[in-house]
Amino acid sequence: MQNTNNVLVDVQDLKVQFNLHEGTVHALEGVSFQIQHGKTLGVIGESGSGKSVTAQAIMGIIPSPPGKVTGGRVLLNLPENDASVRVVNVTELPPSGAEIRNIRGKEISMIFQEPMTSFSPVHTIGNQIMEAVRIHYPDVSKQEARDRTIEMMRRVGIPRPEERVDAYPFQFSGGMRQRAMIAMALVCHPRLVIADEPTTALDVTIEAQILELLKDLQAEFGMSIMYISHDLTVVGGVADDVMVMYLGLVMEQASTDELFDNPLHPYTEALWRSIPTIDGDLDRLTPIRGALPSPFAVHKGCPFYSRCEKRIPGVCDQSRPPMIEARPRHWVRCFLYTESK
Amino acid sequence: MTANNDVLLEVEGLRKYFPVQKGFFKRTVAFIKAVDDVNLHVRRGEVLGVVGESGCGKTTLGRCLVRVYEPTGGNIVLNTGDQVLPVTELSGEQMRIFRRSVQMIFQDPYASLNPRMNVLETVGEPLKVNNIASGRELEERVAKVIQQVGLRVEHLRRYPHSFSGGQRQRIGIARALVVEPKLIIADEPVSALDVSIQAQILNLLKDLQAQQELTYIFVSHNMSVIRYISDRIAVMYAGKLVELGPKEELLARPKHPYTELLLAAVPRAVDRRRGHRTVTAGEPPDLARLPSGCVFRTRCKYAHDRCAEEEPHLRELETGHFVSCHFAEELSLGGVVPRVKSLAA
Repeated sequence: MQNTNNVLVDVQDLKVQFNLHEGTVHALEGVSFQIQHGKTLGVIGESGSGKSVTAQAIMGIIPSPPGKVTGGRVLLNLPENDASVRVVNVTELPPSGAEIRNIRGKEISMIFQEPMTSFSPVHTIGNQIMEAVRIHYPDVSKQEARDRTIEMMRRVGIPRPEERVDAYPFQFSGGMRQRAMIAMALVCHPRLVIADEPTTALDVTIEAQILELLKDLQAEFGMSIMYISHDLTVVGGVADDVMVMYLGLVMEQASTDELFDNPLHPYTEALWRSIPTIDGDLDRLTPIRGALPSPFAVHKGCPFYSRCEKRIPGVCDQSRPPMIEARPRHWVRCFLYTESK
Repeated sequence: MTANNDVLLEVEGLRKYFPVQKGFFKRTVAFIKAVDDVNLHVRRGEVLGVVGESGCGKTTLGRCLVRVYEPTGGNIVLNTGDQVLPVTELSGEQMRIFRRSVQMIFQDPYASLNPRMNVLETVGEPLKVNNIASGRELEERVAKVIQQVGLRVEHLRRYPHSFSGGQRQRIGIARALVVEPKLIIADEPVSALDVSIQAQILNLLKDLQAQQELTYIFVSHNMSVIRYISDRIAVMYAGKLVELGPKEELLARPKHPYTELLLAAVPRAVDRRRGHRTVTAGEPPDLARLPSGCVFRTRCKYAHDRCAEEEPHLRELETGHFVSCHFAEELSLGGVVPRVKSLAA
């Protein structure tokens, strides 16, 4: 879809399903996108959209069973020291094999939503951050790993890091714990950081601090970020490109400016009209009708059909709309735009 | 207190302190001042939004007002129109009237409904325990209120597990409405819902308020939601009410430095185009060890010596616009500048 040079992550037609007692959940039904080096891809989606499963697939940590990759590829283009590029297909690697373990934490790392539960309570913050360095760089001495940890803690804005490195997670506030998690994610200078709702559990003034910190760190270290959130305004504030997911499909994808100025998909438009903002019109919100369909439901046509204001009966419910480039570098999965192409 | 009939609820000097106990004898070593000296009134038919970060006391305030918590001090007076109730010292009969007059809507529709009670039992329970209705009449009243919140009569015999989050929140609202209260305290009622469902519930609350002349105290951490639903806004920080004013006025021209900070922190989709945002460092203080003087001074970029020495009190700066800051007159603070055109026009 986009030019292939400078692409770090290339996800092609990824399909993931979960086989549960109650039935099969088609969590991803053919998801394709790319993340460029040094750029931020924002992923917007509600519960059940598949945004977190996409992140898990890139990390190779889809819980299996019940989860299973049933199709597609996740290609990582990892530049080597000799200027060549090593291409790795994550979906083909054994999930606990040496190769993916060498990538996880070193080339790709993750920041989770809950800073309270993502740290082990019985180890010091410093030891948990240091662990990544010790594993991925066995030649680095213990003292050097500790120094790197303290330096990274300082960089993410933890005051007095030479003392705090020996503190336990319970001694940190929520905001400080999230900073420590960012330090843990960045200590090996990964090429990609996946941030899955990293500020949802934080207060709004702390959220603003963390968002600016991530932007500063990206400018300094040049890593790519995949930023996952249900909050359109947060994603709009940090991302270069945005994709909107709904029930396991990418519905729309474009640069952030283009997507926010010219939303094309009825779901994206409806989302915008349904959220209160701090600076937008104070008109009555227009809710999206109905509720999210059951995760077990199988959709022959467009998964948004039951809630869509612009649906075309006999078309949208009969087959799945294709992803088309309706405007330059602006892709949308909707039959409203297939005629004009 | 005022005999003004426009005022439904009057709160004076409300305090709620939680003791911090230590050691074998559970000696009280300190107090968490969750709500400290809060003064405000709520007018009949208005929506008062209470906003603040975690630990600011907004939930404790709400719980004191419904008498889930026993306040440590202060007065609360509810004027139902027929009767004036001293909420902090209710007699048995007054308590019954109070329970009918004030109801609460909770945040988590998954935790706040009993999974073993069907909709009829859940929504009908307040009628039963308050001896308002029973039998056939109870069922009719529940059926009526269930339809008002957008559910159907066939839902009455179903159990919570068969409803989505948005529908569960509608059940919670029906349960609050069924006794025909005057005042509803809604504590983060849309925070646990998916974004596409939030607007349904917010609009439902707005419509019900207009139809039934309800009064809401709407507690939320989300300034955008508060902006949408409220007529007036109260901003809390570290147990104190720091600013209170009409919505447009407070958002456009905040008078307290914390309100300015809070408004600036709200994410906007245009942030990326604005480049680097200056964000204020620091976190809210430990409630058991508050700074001297003004509770906000440790994060305030305008703080002077006086702020450490003397505690500011809430005062009326302009008609209806209250603020607790020594320097409110001299500061010129930034508020919200509305976008000319909505991004998704």
